[in-house]
Amino acid sequence: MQLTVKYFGIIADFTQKKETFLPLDASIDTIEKLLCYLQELYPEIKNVTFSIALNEKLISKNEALIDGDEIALLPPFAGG
Amino acid sequence: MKRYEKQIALSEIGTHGQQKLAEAKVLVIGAGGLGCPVLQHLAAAGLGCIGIVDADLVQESNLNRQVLYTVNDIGKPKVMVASEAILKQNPEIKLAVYQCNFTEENAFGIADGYDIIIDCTDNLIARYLINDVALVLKIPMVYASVHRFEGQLSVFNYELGPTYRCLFPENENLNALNCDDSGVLGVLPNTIGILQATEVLKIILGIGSVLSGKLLIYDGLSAQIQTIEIPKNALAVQHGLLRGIDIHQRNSQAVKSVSKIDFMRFLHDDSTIIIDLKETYEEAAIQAENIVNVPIDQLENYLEKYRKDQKIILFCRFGNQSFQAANYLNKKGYTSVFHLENGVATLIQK
Repeated sequence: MQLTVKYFGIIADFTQKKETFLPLDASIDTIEKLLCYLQELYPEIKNVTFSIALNEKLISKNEALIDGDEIALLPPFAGG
Repeated sequence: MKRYEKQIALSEIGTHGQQKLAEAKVLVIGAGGLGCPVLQHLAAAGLGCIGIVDADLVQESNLNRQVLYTVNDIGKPKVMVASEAILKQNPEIKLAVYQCNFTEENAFGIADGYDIIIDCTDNLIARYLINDVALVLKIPMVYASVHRFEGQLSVFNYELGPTYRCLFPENENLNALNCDDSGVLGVLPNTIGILQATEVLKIILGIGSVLSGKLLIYDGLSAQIQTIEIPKNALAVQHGLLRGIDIHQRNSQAVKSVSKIDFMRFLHDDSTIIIDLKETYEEAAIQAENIVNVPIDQLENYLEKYRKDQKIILFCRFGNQSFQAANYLNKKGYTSVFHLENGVATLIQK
């Protein structure tokens, strides 16, 4: 029972890693709970805007998570 | 056509496709890390007309990635150096150069008439503006951006597809996020810029599947590419369209005029260019040190060396020619053009 979380852009700068594996349990079984957990772990991301993809598709609301889900945190890039 | 024979040889392109490229008009906003490879490759491919927008001068710190520029170009306007370089590579193409930032005031004046906008900017404010302008003009926006070792790529507003706002709905943190000074691997914007140019060519040629509704993320460090599906968000699209329409209405410039008194005042202002549109053989109705005589058919050529925000006052005998010329310059993206209403005739009457 596991989740994969992928970090991009400035969020990966804060987490200092590109991805992490988390156990799926009652404390992290929705997108909302996952974000709370991550914001506690990496307070800097509270100040960052990002979109969220679940299994390579952008989502716009809270969703339940199941075993094997892959969540990506996608901040906009400014550079050109 | 020897120049293009390797791509004409592709059955997906052929002479018909090459003709499409020759007729295409694209606008490249930003002549930096992404803009350089985009400009080089679209020019080499034989695009008919390329517009280039950038206010910046070449800096030494650009040279690790913006390979159009050389040490000798430091301090020169990017749009000038870039246009000279790509015309040298392909003298057959036409260029339109806008040495200015892409702003709410000049956006529609510049972008109107182009088939595609290519977003090579370095800030989010410009990206939202490009998105909203593209929505109003009903043209696709080919988007890319970079951060350190990573790049993002997508095509927005393509055949009513998702927009930049569907990916990133606008938020209050816009300014905080606006500047990316975290550095970038020199080769990275070139990798992404070339993918961006590829999407532009596919759209013009109508071949392959365009990267619409998908965000491609390239990570140079792990050599991995990931694609994320972007659903269309009707509210976000509408938000962009409404803002675009509002910007368009606020800035569809009525021609600005100066009064007699202000005109006389500006005769002593060296930072303003005052142009008498009379033919060279006609006698000047009024003379002053900073009045230049530029007949209307030479106006565009004459102004080439000036920035688009240069303050310009046009006048003619009765104000009709100057009105038309001011209107034309507004459309060309000049943002500070005035004309003397009713012409010099009003001055002489007293």
